[in-house]
Amino acid sequence: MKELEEAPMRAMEERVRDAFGAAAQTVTSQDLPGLPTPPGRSWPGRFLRAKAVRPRIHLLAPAAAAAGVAIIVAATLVVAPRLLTGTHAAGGGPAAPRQFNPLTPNVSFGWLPPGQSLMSGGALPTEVHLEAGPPRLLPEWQLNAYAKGQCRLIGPGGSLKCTATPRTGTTLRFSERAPAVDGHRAFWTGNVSGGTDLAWQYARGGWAALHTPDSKHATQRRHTVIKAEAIKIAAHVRFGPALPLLFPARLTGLSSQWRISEIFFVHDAGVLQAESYTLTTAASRFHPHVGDEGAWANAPYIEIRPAPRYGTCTPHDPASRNTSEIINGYRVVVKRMTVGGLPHQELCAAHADGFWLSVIEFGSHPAIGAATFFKQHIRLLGTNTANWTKNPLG
Amino acid sequence: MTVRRAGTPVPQAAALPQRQPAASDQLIDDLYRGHALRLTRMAVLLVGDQPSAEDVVQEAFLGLFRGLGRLNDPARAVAYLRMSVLNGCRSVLRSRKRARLRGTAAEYPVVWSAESAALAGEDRREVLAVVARLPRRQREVLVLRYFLGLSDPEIAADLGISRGTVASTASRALAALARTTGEQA
Repeated sequence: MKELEEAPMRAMEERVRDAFGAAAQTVTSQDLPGLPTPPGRSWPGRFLRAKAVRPRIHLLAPAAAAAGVAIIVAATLVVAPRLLTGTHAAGGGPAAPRQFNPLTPNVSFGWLPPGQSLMSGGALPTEVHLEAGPPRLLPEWQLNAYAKGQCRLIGPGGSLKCTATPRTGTTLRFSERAPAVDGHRAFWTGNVSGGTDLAWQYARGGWAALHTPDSKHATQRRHTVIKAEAIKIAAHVRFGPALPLLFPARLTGLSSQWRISEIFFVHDAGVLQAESYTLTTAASRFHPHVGDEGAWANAPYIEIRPAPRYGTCTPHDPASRNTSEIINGYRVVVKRMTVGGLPHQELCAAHADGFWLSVIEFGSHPAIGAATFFKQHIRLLGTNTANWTKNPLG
Repeated sequence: MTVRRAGTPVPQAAALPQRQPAASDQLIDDLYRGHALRLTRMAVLLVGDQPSAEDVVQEAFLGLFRGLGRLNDPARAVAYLRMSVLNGCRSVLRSRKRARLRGTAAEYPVVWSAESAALAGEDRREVLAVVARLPRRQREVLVLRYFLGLSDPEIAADLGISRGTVASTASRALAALARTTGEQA
């Protein structure tokens, strides 16, 4: 094809730029819809995943948070035997766990489509979530398993309302009946991506939901494949001992009242690696009007992950007062500011024994300040997971 | 959700530090505020109509929400969004093609069509109509180069082609445009 000489080419470029610019101007910022509500907003587990990067402030039921681990009924549920035929409401089978133990989230995928694997997940007493997808790509599947009593049917089987915390919940609107999952009733539900998700009653009093890959522009054949895979994934979800959850730090010198009330982890090298978690006690207090979802005072938000090579403690927030210190031989930045009228302090270490670390505390007089917590109560175990612990509070 | 801090500047993608701030809702908000309009405009140039473009961009941000924890390099978030939008636009166009073949097409008028009346100038309409008929790669190269102002290496990275291919594709596209719209070579 003959190409243009320079001058006409520039003229053509200008015409293209002008046309593009004019066409682009037909869209204005006023036209744009708001930020889309992600599945995670309606799938409560999602916020935990993001929290791994910067802890989010949200509500946990104080009693559940404080007493959660102590009274955990481990999810040793065995899904109703396959002897059952036909669909039933799991009424006669074993009950769902009343609570999950965030330290041993006993939910796992028993089957995933070829080439896909568990990527990450999170747990709190009321809910466990897991994400899976192709290695090094984005998660395609998200499983949310709710503890007993966290979901309730609304209307004549029209929708299912699930609540992981008093401030986060989702309503799954059934679009049609799905094939029974391991003998239990199941429903397809619409999702914000235009696809169909699957909700099923995995045990008496307990529901689970599976968010499927984006399929808005998928072919009918692909839709069919996704649905078949969803049913198979759901049927193979295991409620019982899963991979060990390992912590890269030991939290020492804390009184026995401290509990890990929620957690986010990633799956790597055959183990679940805890990346962020929240410690609470009966003295932890929730401030519902701080931030978007409220904040716990007297409850350290801890995040420890392998340090990226060029990781830093920036961006500097102009609203904060930053001080740089050396604590336990590590250079740290302590940021202090006020958020929603509540004092907020964050200790950040960009390179601490191979980790990037953050401790966030809210409140005027937290029982243990962020710097003190790092100085006296965190013992890093190195980046070799063989040296990590299952019992960080032990 | 994050605790919102007044006065936090909108982060520039290139300046984003590694990993730790990437998954915050604040970052997503900032990315949306900073890039959604530009991405939607880009999508309009590729798919022709605003509703489809908005859908594509919303999908791209939803994808980012879902995958943020696994995004290895947050500095690539904008590039990731851009590529998601490109892929979304391709899907829209493929779907339309199938729908047209089935006789079930139900499309919005493109912004450069007469019935849209959103765009002033016959010359612009003509240029855009011809761009819309170019092969997909040529169309994408033109939009990335002359609307987003990306460099050839950036375009090459986005489209997964060589820099030389970017240059030759753009040149052929311009030649085709000139030939069709009467620009003298």
